Amino acid sequence: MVTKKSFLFYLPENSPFLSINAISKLLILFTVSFLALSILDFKINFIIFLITVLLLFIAKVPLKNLKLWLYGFAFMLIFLTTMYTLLSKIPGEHVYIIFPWGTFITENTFPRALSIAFRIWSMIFAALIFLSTTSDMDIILALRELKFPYTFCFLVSLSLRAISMFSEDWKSILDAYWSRGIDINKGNIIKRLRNYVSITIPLIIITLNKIKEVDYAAESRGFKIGIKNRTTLETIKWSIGDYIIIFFSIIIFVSALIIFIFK
Amino acid sequence: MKTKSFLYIKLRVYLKVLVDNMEETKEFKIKKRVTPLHIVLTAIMAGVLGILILYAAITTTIVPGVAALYPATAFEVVFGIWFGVWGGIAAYIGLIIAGSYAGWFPLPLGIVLAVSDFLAAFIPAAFFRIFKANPELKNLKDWIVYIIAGIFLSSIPGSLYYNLINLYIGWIPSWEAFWLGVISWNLGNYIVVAVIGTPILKIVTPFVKRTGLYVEKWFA
Repeated sequence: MVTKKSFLFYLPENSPFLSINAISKLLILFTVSFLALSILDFKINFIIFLITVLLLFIAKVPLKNLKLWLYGFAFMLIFLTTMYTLLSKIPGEHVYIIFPWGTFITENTFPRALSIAFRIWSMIFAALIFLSTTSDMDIILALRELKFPYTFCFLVSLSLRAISMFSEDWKSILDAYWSRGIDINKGNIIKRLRNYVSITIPLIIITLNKIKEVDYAAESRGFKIGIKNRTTLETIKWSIGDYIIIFFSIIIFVSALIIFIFK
Repeated sequence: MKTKSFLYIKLRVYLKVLVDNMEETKEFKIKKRVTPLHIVLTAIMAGVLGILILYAAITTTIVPGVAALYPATAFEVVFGIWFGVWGGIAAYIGLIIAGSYAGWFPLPLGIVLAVSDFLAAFIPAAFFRIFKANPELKNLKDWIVYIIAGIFLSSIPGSLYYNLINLYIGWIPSWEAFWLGVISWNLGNYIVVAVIGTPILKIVTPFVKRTGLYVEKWFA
């Protein structure tokens, strides 16, 4: 299968989300997030969550790549429910247990915990759709199209690239330690924290050495602060799908705003 | 015209390399201002912080969304002390990237939450600049500023802010959980900054100063 690299992982090239530009996807992300944040109702939050899951399937994000997120979701669900059980004061008609430290459980405790979990995870899944269907170059193009200053776009672009640049160095340093038989995850917490010092010092030294190289390269290509009217080889493309998404996103956003103001 | 501008850029870079390698003396004071180097520095440090936030983690959670031991905070404090406001911006961007990448929080929420990491870097940066303390921690004044601002004060405003936002969105269920989150956050950060931050400052600061990347004032 032909795949295309996004910010997070490889995506099948026939994914419908690849034909949508980053601005439209960013709008979906912000609309879902605003909608999820403005409403706190178990049923509605669950529906928003299901819609984001459906969008993930439509985007054809490979399920094997979502393993980590699904574990995170399960862990968060258990953790949040425990927290709400022990440390919440959600009012309700029936109080089942009152704890000595003043918190209590009512019939509304668990629905509230689940609503919060669905609220957070619909936002995380919306962000996941954006990051798994958009490359770092698309993000930069979108920022430039939205008329952000070039210096800001450069800053974001270089930060995203620095992660891949230095994660290799980080892995090499770790491998070097492993090959000498040093297990950094061994010992008590203080010992493990001290191990990080010996790993991060080489990383910082490598980074500081590279900063000047990158700076000279950037300046020799004419980069300076406050530069205006720079042209780019690639530009953002607009399709009918983008206009439809923008139209519906604006309608949903305005509706959520009205509900939020008048509720 | 094109040739002229190319030569001009080349000359600027040569001059920059020359000035970077010059030693500052009493007779020769280099006028410091914000340059593209600071933007590059911020971007790369944000990337490195992103890696450290993602990989150098001992995940111990007490309340949802808040890691009790967060080693990256030590690097944020150190970068703030070395690079001033740029260190704070790097911490801010680094958390947004790492958090979005790992699915800890959604991007729009990350933009709001990451202010806590900016504060963690900015507070020690401000104290070191106001009190003209030396990050190499050579005398008692430097140590006092570092212990007060770097270890203790750096995490308090960020912890209050981050947990308050989490309380508002329902991620934290009550004020009891809020205070539990704030206390565990601060205790964890005190340990992390003392154990990781102190040796890094002592060992790497002379190297940072030698490379000319050390930001003496707020921005330059």
